[in-house]
Amino acid sequence: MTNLNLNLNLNLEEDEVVLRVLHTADWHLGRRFRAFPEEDARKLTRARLEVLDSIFGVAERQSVDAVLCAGDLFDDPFPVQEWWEPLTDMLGKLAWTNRPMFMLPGNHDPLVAESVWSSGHAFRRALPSWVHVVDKDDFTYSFGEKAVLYAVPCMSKAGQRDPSDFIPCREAGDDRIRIGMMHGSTFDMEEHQTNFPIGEDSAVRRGLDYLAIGDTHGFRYVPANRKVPPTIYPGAPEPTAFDEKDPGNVAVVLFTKRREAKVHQERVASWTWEEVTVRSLVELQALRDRRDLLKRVLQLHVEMRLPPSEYEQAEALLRDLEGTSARLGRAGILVLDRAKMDLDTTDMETLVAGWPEVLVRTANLIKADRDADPRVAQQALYKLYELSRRP
Amino acid sequence: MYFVRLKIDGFRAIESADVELGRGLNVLYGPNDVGKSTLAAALRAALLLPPQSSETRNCVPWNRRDCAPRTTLHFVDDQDRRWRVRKNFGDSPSGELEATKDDVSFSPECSGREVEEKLRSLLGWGIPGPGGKGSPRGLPHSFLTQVLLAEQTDVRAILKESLEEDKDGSGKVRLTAALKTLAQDPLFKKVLDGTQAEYDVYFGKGGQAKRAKNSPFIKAAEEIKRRSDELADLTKKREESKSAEVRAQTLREEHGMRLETAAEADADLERALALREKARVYEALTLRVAEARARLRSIDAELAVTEEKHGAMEALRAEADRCVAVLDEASRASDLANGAARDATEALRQASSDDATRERDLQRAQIEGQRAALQAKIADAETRRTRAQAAVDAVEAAAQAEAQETKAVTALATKRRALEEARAALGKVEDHLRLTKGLSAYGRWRDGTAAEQESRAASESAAACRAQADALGAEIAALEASLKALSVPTEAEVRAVVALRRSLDLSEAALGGGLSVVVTPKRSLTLRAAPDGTWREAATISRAVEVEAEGKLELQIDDLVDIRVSAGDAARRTAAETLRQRWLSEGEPVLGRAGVTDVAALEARVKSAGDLTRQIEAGRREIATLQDKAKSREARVTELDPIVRSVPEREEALTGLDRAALEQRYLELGKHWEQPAKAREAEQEKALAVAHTNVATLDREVAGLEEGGKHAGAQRIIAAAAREAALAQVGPEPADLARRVSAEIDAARREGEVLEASLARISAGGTAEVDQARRSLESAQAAVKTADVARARATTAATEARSRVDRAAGEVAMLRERGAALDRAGAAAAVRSSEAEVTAFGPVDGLPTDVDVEKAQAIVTEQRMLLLETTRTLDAAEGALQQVGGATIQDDLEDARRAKDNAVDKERDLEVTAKAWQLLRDKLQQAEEAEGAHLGRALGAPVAERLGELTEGRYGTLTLGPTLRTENVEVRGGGSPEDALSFLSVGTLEQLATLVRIAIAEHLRSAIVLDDHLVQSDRARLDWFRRMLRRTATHTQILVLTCRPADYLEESEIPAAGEPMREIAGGAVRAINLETVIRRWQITPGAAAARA
Repeated sequence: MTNLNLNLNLNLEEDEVVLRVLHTADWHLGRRFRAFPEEDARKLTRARLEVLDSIFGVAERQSVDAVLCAGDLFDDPFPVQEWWEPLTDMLGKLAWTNRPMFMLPGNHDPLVAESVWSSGHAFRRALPSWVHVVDKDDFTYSFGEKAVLYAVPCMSKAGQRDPSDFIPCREAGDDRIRIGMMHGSTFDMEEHQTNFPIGEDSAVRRGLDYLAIGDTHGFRYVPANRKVPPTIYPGAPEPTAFDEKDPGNVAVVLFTKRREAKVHQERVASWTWEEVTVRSLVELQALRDRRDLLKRVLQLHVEMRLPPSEYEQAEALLRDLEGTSARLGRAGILVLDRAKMDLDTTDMETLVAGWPEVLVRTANLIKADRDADPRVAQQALYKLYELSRRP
Repeated sequence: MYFVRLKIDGFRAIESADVELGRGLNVLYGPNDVGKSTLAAALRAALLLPPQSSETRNCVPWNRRDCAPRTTLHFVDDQDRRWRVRKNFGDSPSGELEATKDDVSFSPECSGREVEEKLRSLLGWGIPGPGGKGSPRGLPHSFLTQVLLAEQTDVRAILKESLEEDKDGSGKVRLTAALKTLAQDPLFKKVLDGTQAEYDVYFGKGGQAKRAKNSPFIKAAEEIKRRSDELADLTKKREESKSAEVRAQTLREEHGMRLETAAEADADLERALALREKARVYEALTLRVAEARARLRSIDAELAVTEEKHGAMEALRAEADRCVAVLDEASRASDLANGAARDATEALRQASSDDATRERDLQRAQIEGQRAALQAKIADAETRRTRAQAAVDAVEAAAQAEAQETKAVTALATKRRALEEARAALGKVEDHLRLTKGLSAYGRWRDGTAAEQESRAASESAAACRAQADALGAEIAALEASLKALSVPTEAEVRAVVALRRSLDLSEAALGGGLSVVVTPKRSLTLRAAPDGTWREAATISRAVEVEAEGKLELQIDDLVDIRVSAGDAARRTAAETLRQRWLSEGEPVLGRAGVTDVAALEARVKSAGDLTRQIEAGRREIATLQDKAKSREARVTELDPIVRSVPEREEALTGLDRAALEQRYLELGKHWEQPAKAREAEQEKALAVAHTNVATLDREVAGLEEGGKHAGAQRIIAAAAREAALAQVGPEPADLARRVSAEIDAARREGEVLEASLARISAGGTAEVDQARRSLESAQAAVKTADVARARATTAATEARSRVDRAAGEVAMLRERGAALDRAGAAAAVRSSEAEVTAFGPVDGLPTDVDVEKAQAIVTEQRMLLLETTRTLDAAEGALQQVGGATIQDDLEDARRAKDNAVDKERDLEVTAKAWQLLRDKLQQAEEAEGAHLGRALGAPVAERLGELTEGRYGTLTLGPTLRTENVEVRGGGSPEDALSFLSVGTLEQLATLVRIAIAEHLRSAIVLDDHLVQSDRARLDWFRRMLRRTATHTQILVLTCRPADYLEESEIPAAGEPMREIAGGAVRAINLETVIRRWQITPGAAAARA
C-alpha cells in the first residue's frame, strides 16, 4: 500500500455520505512494451499487476461500497494464464463479500467468443462470487433501494454505437443514485479514434449522478468544465507512455443523500515516466545524484560536446544511471538518446600525451582519414583513448 | 596450413606411396634410396608444379616412360578449410582441386590451370599465378618455398635469400602480418589486442562482417526483421482496419443519406396525407358553402315572393283606404245633405207663420193661383223633368247596375276560381300532410321492423359473438398447447446462439478467398463433395474434376479417404475452428432442444413462437372484444324491445296507406327520415292552416261576392225596371226631355219668379222665404238622395277593397310565417361561417390528389427497401470492422513502429561501433606496419635467442634485413665481424638456416619439410633440436625426412620392423617407416644395367 492518505470526508458530515465507490480503469494487464529492451519491458509489464495492490488498498482504506473497473483490464481479450491467474489469486485473498467489484470488458479486451470474459473461461470460473463481469448490454445492479448501477460492455474492438444509448433515462419518481459505467471515447481529444463514441452529455441525458468511463490514460473530467454530474476518466493506474497527462490515479467517489457525487483523485502508481535533457556534465551529474530515479522511466537526451576526459566521465555517469549486467542502474529504466553527445577532439595534444609513437600515429591516421564517417572516427578515437587508459 | 595425406603413383622411382601425416612432428624414416627425396619432390610437385609444365618430365619414372605420374595431396589451409589436390603429370596432364569436410566426400572447386592459381592464392607464398607476367615455367620458387619446402641439397640457401626476389608480394604480406606482433610496444599491444578482441566480435579473419548465427549483426538484423515483420503485420491489419473503417464510414454516410431520403419520403407522404386530409376538409367546406348559399338563395327567393305579395297587399290596402276615403266623403256628403234638408225643413216651417198670411194669402192666392198654375206647370214640368231626370238617372242607374252586376259576376268568378285554387291547394296540403303523416307512420313502422330486424340481428350477433368467443377460446387453448410444444429457448439463449453463429459466420467469412481442388482419379471412383458445408450428390468420376469453394471444402472419395480443406491463415482457422467447436457444444444443443437445424430456423421458430404469442394475445383481445360486443348486442336487444312490441300497432296505423309510395319516399329520405319528416309535417301543418284560412277567406269573399252579385242583379233588375218605367213615362229620350222640361221649368220659374216677386211684394216677405225654404228643402232632399246613392256605392267599393286586402294580408302573413321559419339569418350566418372557414382555411394551391398520395407511398416503399438494403450492407461492414478494427491496433502499431525504430537505431549504433573498431584496428595496423615494416627486427630476436640456446650462448644478436635476408650474427666473446656468417661452420650454418626456417614456419603456422637438413650436427645439438622440434610441433606441423630416425626418436619410439607407423606423445609425434608406405619400382637386372 503506497498511499498513506487518511480516509476521505471531503468536508461532508459522516451521515451525509450514503455510498462510496472506487472507480478505476485501463489496467492493461499483459501489455507488451515492444519499444523497450526485454528486461525493462518485463518490469513495465509487471508494474501493471503490482499496482493492483495499491488500488485494492485504497478501496479498503476508504471503505468503499463497490469497485468499478471501467474496461481494458487486460491488454488483449485472450491473455495467457500468466496474466489472469495472478489477478484471480489476488482477488481470492480479498474477503470482499460486501464490496462488489464490477469488471467491464473494454475495446482492448472486448467480450468476444473464447475471450477471458466468456462464461466458459477458467478466469471467469476462478473469480470470487462478489466479482461481477458486465457481460450484457442491459446489466444493472441495485445497491438496495438507494442506488443502481447501469453498465454496458464492449463486445468488439470497434463500434460506432454510443454505449450510453443502452442506459434507460431516469423515470419520474426514481430518486435512487444512478451510476453508469462504460468504455469509449468522448471525442474531446484530438486524433482519437472514434470508437464507442460516448456523448459528453450522456450523464445528463440519462439522468445519471455519476458516469464512470475508461479508455484514455489520464485523469480528467468530461467535459473539463462540468463537475455535476461528473463524468470521469480515472486514467491508467500505471502510466504507459511519456505523453500521457496525469496518469496513475483512481477516482474515489462519495455520494451524498442529495445524490451529489464528490470525486477525489488518488494516486496509486509507483512508476513515473519522465523526459529529461541534459546539456552539461554538471546537469548529468545532478541527474545521476537524484534519489527519486529508482521507480522512474527516464527518457534522457544528452546534448553536449565533451573532450575525451569529460566524455569518459559522462560515460561513467551514464553507466551509473543505466546500470550494467553486474550492477543495477540508478534509474529504474533509462531510455538514452545520445545522438547529440559528441567527442571534442580538437585538443589532440592532451589526448595523446604519453603515448608511444605508434599510437600517436594511429590517432593521427584516424583523424586524418577523410573517408571515415565522422561518428565512426569519433568513436574510434574515443575507443583508442579509452583502451589506452584501461589498467 | 598442414598436410594430411600424400598419395603417389608412378612418380620417379616410386611406383606408389600413401602417407598419412599427423598434425605435429612427423619423422619419416627409411634407408637411403627408399624414396625420401622423391616423396619430398612429389609433395612439392603436388603443391606447386603445373601438370602442363615441361618440367613434369622429371617426374616420369625413368623405367616407365609411358607411366603417368600422379599425386594426391590432402591438406588444410590457414582458414581450416580442407582440400584435396590431384594432379596427373603424364601425357594427359590434369589437375583438380576439391573441397572436403571429412576427407571422404569431395566437391570440385576448380580444375586445370585454375588449380595452380587457387593453390598459390591459398598458400600466399609469394608465387605469381600461372601464365602471368613473371610466372615461372617449371616448379616455382620463392622465399617461402625455400623456407618451407627446401630441397635436401640446398639447406643453407635460405641464408642468402630474401623476400626481395619474390615475383609476388603475397609472401611478404603474410610474413609481415605474421611477424609484426613480435615488435610491438606493450601499450600498443594492449590496445591492439583489445581492439582485435572487439574487432573479432564483429568481423571474421577475412575482414568480412560476421554472419554466423550469434553475430551481433545477425542478431541486430534479426531483431529488425522481427520488428519489421511485426510492424508489417500490424500495418497490414491497420490497413485492413482502415479499409474496413473507410468502407463502414462510406456505408454510414450512404446509410445516413438513405435515412434522410427515407425520412424525407416519409415526411413527404405524411405531408401529402395531411394535405390530402386538408383537401378533403376543404372540399367538405366548399360543399357546405355551396349548400349554405343555395339554402340562402332559396330562402331569399321565398322572401322575395313574400315581399312581392306584401307590395301587392299594400297596393290593395291603399286602394281600400282610398275606397274608405271615398266612402267617408260620401258619408260626409250624405250627412251634409241630410243636415241641409233638416235646415230647409226648419226654414220652411218658419216661413209658414200666421200674421200676414191672410193678405199675403189673398194676393198670394192670386198670385199663388198664378203661381200655382205656374207651379203646377212648373211642377208638371218638374215632374216631367223629374221623370225625365229620373228616367235619365234610371238609365244611368240601370247602366251602372248592369256594370256593377257585370263586375260582381266577374269578381265572383275570379274569387270562385281563387277559392277553387285554394281548396285545391288545401287538398294538396292535406294530401301532403296525410302523406307526411303516413310517412311518419311508415317510418315508425319501418323503424319498428328495423328494430325488429336489428333486435333479431343483435340477438343473433350476440349469440354468434358468444359462439365465436368460445371457438376462439378453444383455438387459443390449442395455440397455447402449440406454443408449449414449440420448446422455444429463452431469449438470452437465442441471443447468445445468434451472436455465436454470427461470430462463427464472420470468422468463417474471414477465411474466405476461394478454394479450388482438382481431383484426378487414377481409376473410376465415387466422389462426394461439400463446398462450404453443403454436401452434393455423390458422382462417379473417371477423369479430372474441379471442385470450388469459398472457404471450406470436404471431399469423400469412395470409402478410401475423407478430405477437409480450409482456407485462411492458421490463426483465423484456429479461431474459426474454436468457434465451430463452441457452436457444436453451445449452439447445436440449443438448436437440438428447439428441434431445428440452423439459426434461421431457430429464429423462425422464435418468430413463430412470437407470432403464436401475439396470436394468443390477439385472440384474447378478440374474445374480450367479442364478449363486449355480445353484451352490447344484448343490451341493444333490450333497448329495442319496446319498439319491437309496438310494431303491430305501428303497422295498423298504415292501414289504407300506399305503402309502395311511402316506401319510395322513405327510401328517398333515407334512414334519417324522422327529422325531415317531422319538419315537413310541421311545415305542412302550417301550410294546411294557411290553406284553411285562405279557403275560409275565399269562401267568405265568394259568399260576399255572391251576395253582392245577387244584390247587383237585383239592383240591375230594379234599375232596369225603373228605367223602363221612367222611359215609359218620358219617352226614349229622357235627357232631351229633361233639357226641354228644364227649359220650360226655367221659363216657368222665371215667370214664377215674377209671380213670386209679386207675391213677395204682396206677402212682404213671407211667402218668398217659404218658397225659398221649400225650394231649399227640396234641393236638400235631392242632394240627400244623391249622397245616399254615392254612399252606398262607396260602401260597396270599400267592402270589396277590404276583402282583397284581407286576403292579401292572409297570404302575406302565411308567407311571413314561412319566411320566419326559414331562418334566413341562420342561413346567412351559415354562409358567412362556412365562407369564413373557407377563407380561414388558407391557400389551397397545390393540395395533393389521391394519385399524388399514391406516388408518395410508392416512393416511401422504394426508399425503405433501399434503406433496408443499405442497412444490411452496413451491418455486414460494421461486423467486419468489429473484427478487424479499433484503436487497439493503432496503439500496437505505434508501439511496433517505435520498437522497429529502436532496432534500426540499435543496428546503426552497432554498425558505427563495429566500424569504429574496424577503423581503429586498421589504423593501428597501418601505424604498426609503418612502424614495424622491418621484418628482420621481429624475427631476429627469437631466432638469435634459440641460436644462443643451441650454441650455449656463443652467438648473440642475429641481424636480419628488412626482407629477412640474413646479414650477420653476433659472435659473443669474439667480436662482431661484419661477415661473421662466413666464419660459421657448415653444421652451424645448417642449424642457423633451420632455426630461421622453423621460426618463419612457426609464425606462419605453416607446415615445414626438413629433408635430412641436420646431417652435419652433433649429438648434443641434435638432442636440442629434437626437443625444440617437439615443442614447436605442438603448434606447427614438421615433416622430417631422415635415414637416421634415432636423431629424432627415442629408441623405444621407433616402430618395430614391418610396423608402418607409430603415434608418440599422444599423437604429437608420428614415426613413419617409409619402407612400409613406399613401394618402389621393381628393378630387373636388365633394367638396372640399362640404367647404368
